Amino acid sequence: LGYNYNITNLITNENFYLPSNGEALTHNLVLFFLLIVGLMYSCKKDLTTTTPLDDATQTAAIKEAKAWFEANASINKQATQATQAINAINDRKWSEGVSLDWNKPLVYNKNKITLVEMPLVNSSVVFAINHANANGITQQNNYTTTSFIVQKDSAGVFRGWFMVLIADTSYVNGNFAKLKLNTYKSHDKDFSGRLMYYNPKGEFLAGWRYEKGSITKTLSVATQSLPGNQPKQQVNSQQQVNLVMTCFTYPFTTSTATCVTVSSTQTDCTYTSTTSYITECFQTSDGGGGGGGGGAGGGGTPGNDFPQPPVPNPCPPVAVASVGGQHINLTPGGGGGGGGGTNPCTPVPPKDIKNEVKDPCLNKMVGAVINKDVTTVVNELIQNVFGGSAKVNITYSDALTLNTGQLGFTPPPASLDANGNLTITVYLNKAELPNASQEFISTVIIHESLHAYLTTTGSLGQLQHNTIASTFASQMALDLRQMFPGLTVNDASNLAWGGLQSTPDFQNNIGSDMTKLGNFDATQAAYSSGTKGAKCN
Amino acid sequence: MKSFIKIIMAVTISYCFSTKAFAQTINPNELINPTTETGLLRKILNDIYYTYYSPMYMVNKTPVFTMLKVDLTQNGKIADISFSDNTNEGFASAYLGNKDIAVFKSTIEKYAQQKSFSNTSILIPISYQPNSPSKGGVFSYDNIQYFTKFKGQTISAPMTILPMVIISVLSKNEM
Repeated sequence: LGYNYNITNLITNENFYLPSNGEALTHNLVLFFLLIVGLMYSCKKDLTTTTPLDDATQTAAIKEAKAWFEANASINKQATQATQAINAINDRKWSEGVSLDWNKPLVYNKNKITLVEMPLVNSSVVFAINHANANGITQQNNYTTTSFIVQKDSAGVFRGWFMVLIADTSYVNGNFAKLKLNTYKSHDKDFSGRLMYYNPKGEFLAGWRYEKGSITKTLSVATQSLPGNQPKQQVNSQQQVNLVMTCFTYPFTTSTATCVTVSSTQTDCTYTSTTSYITECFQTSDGGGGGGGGGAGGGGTPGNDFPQPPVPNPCPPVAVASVGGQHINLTPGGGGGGGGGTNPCTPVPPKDIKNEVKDPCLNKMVGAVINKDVTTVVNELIQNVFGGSAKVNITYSDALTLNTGQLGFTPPPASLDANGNLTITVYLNKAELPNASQEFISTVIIHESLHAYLTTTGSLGQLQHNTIASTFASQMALDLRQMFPGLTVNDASNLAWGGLQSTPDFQNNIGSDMTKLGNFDATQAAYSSGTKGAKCN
Repeated sequence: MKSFIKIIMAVTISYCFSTKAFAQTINPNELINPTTETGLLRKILNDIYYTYYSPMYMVNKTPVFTMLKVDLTQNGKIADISFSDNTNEGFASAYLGNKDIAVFKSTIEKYAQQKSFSNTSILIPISYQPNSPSKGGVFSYDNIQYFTKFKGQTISAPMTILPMVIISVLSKNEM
């Protein structure tokens, strides 16, 4: 597997697909040919080195995988009540709605790496190209199968990801049993359809289009939606070489079902659907054998193996939020991950959320509060708005000198950048904030992030505090307690109301009550001076 | 009852947080260069708000309650733009001398065209409130008297009053 990862790293490296001149292209084509030969050899070698496991070893592997999955799933569920309620209504994490069939595992062993594959019970997660296809989520005869793969590598590190197969109707041709011929280890020689990998958060990792057993296209997440549900063709103008990539973008509906058995013959299900957009690209000139597979190992080799998932995150699944949260890095990564630094396990923020704060204390706090692995509601809001869109970006900075008493400032941008994107900068007061407690600094970061979010909604600057007070203050308090479990309910609430003293909600809830106001002032003074809470420095 | 409140909160927040759908509807250009009546009015008011809600101006601790008047020609072009006579020069020049004043004026004219304003004045009350939430008596009689006068003349119809801009700044821990 390690060999495969290395080879495909080279294949999928941007430098290969995007050479700057013809010489580089020629060089890379030669390299590509050599790598394909090497890849084919390595795949063949891998098949031969797959070793059968005895029953006891298989049982032990399944037991370990189950323990890991359940431990991480339960941690994932340790969200606030509000979070759970929101997720139930809107955007639930997959791992909260997923049931694996541990009675039907497949266990593989390759080069000291153990892989356990389990199908999902009742297809509780399903993918479809349109909403109509998602309606058959619990039907036996649908064209989608989903399984979850748990990998334990030679170092004992566990990772997990989903494998989703959407078969073509022409491939199934009424014989739905054919889907069972396709597992993580191998696929039917005539398989036609799509193969996609998702991390446990439901984030797309990689995907391929198969036709009669061979990869013909690579799949990626579209950068923007398309009007209507009609597939649209586009030519990728960003390719700087003559290899014209023709792309089609489709809306993909991801649905989860929560089912209740009413009787032996009736099951009531509640469906939750979200739509994302997937782009399929293939090379329309120079042939080239159809895309080469991508991911971190398989490549476009028609044959038995499905492509391996993208390169795992080198970081082991350990707590990533250093401020007391019990957050586990459950994802297998998203391809690559850092590199070049002294600590490859430092979380790498998404490109659209930049932490350019120079002060080490404030930098650390921004990284701890605004982090794709943190499950607070406000953080997820920021991640969804800024982390998943190239159109709106957020940058945290301490470059601007703020007045004494002004802890943060989030002005609306005056113009768009050269690419037509909106970048909002959050400024933090580097002279005052580092002396405050972590709890207080986190509050300021969340508060300013909400200003950034509200700016993207077109909210008037003068009304943003009113909105934060009326809509977000309670949730901020819950988020703070999630990050700092030792924080009392009252202190969390008093911190969350900070900066909102001029709003009607504050005046009605706190300002009009001398006792509450006294407690508020005392809390603000204690945490802002660092005499209470965890010191930042 | 508590459960009901929780459900209402969850529905409200989830509506606000339905960001996947929202993220697809963000139009950065409309935020920066609005074309709709609502967007233009938002920009006019935000331009005023952030002129004063900025580190550069917020060092000023003097409360200000003033009126910005924009006189429009028959074609909806700006004939004159001024603050009421009770306005201190620093406050007026922060806006009128702003490097983006041309953009401010352009936005107002676009808004006037959309609203088909002509031969009228637009009035925008502005309140700058440092040391918030303290609301001690800060305005003298003269100050209020001159609130409705511009260049010594009392304002007269026709006129349109836009929403008031309130810039509230806390004395400490502003964010």
